[in-house]
Amino acid sequence: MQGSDAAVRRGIAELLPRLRRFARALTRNADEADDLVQTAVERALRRPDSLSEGARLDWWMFRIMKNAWIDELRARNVRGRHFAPEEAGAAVAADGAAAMAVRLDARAAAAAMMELPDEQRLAVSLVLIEGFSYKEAADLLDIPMGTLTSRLARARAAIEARLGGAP
Amino acid sequence: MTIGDERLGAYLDGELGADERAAVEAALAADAGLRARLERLQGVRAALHNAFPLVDDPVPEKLLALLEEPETNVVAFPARAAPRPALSGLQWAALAAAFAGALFIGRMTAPESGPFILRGGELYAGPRLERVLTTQLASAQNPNAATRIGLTFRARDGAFCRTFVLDGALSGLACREAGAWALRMTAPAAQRTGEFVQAAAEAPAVLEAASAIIEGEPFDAAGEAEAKRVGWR
Repeated sequence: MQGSDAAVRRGIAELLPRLRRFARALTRNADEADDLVQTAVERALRRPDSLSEGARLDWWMFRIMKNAWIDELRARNVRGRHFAPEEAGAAVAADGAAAMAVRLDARAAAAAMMELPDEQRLAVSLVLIEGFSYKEAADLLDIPMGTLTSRLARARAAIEARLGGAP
Repeated sequence: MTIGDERLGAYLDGELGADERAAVEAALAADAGLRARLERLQGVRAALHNAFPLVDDPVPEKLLALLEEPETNVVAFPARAAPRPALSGLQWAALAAAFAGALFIGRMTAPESGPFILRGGELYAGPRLERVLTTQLASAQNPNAATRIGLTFRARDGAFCRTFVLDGALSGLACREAGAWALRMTAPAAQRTGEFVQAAAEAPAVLEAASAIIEGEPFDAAGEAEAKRVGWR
């Protein structure tokens, strides 16, 4: 059996700092991010039974938020722009930056994230920021592990190029 | 052997099996270019954590209303049966904030890969962190290890305790109790940022908690190795 409704609410409340971080990594500003969290929490509370026995609450919530976000993108009819082809951004990862140290510039990292294709941003958020395992992230995104690892590698290279690029 | 970005990334993410990990480490030992590449990838992760910290801003009213939980920042842990060091209000606040994202609700089963598990209302190291705490020596650890050990010492109640920094993000103190590592304290890791490099360091609150319960001095390399040899008992 699942936890009680009250336990789910409490669990979600405890997850809020992470859920809001995830939303900020996906969207473009803090207000948009909190709207996304709101939508995801509403959905979760409408369907507490979709939390299967033994499932992690955080995995479940992040998955609901991912779905809510994709729905939002579709609703805005910007899917064509946001869901760039897999190859996009791959060329950025040339060896040109090889000798340069990465500048640990949070703003540059945030900007680099926003330039990534959405599916890469999801992979980066879940694995590099939220610390989900490859298996958990691939399941959450409904993609094969190989797809996840290649998205991660492309995204890392693109961010690295951006951070290590000329000032 | 050529180590591609995907494999190097998987190494950093702790996703390789022992054999593959050893192969990557051998390649790293032989190839300064690859080491530099690894450092840059670590820099990417650190920069991302800087860019996207946990969000502790006030929670919007309508979201709070939805959850009907005004005290969202307080995570109450049941009292332990065994005596434990008293934590100040500040430390508890840091603990609650740090764990806000890591907790699972009571009846959920913790995953193999999660850093912590909740058992009988207490937080313990999960399998991955357990392995690090039990086997990793601060005196001989890989500087690129995802989780690093800081101090090892004996507490006044006799338990072995260790401080650690998990995935460069979370600083903690765990003590060996009845065959498991019980979490006594965690806080977001302090970030030491230089011009080009960044290292996660133990949070001041964790060091404070450690100094509050330590018996004598922290172990040196020999003391640490001996504690490991006797199985932390």
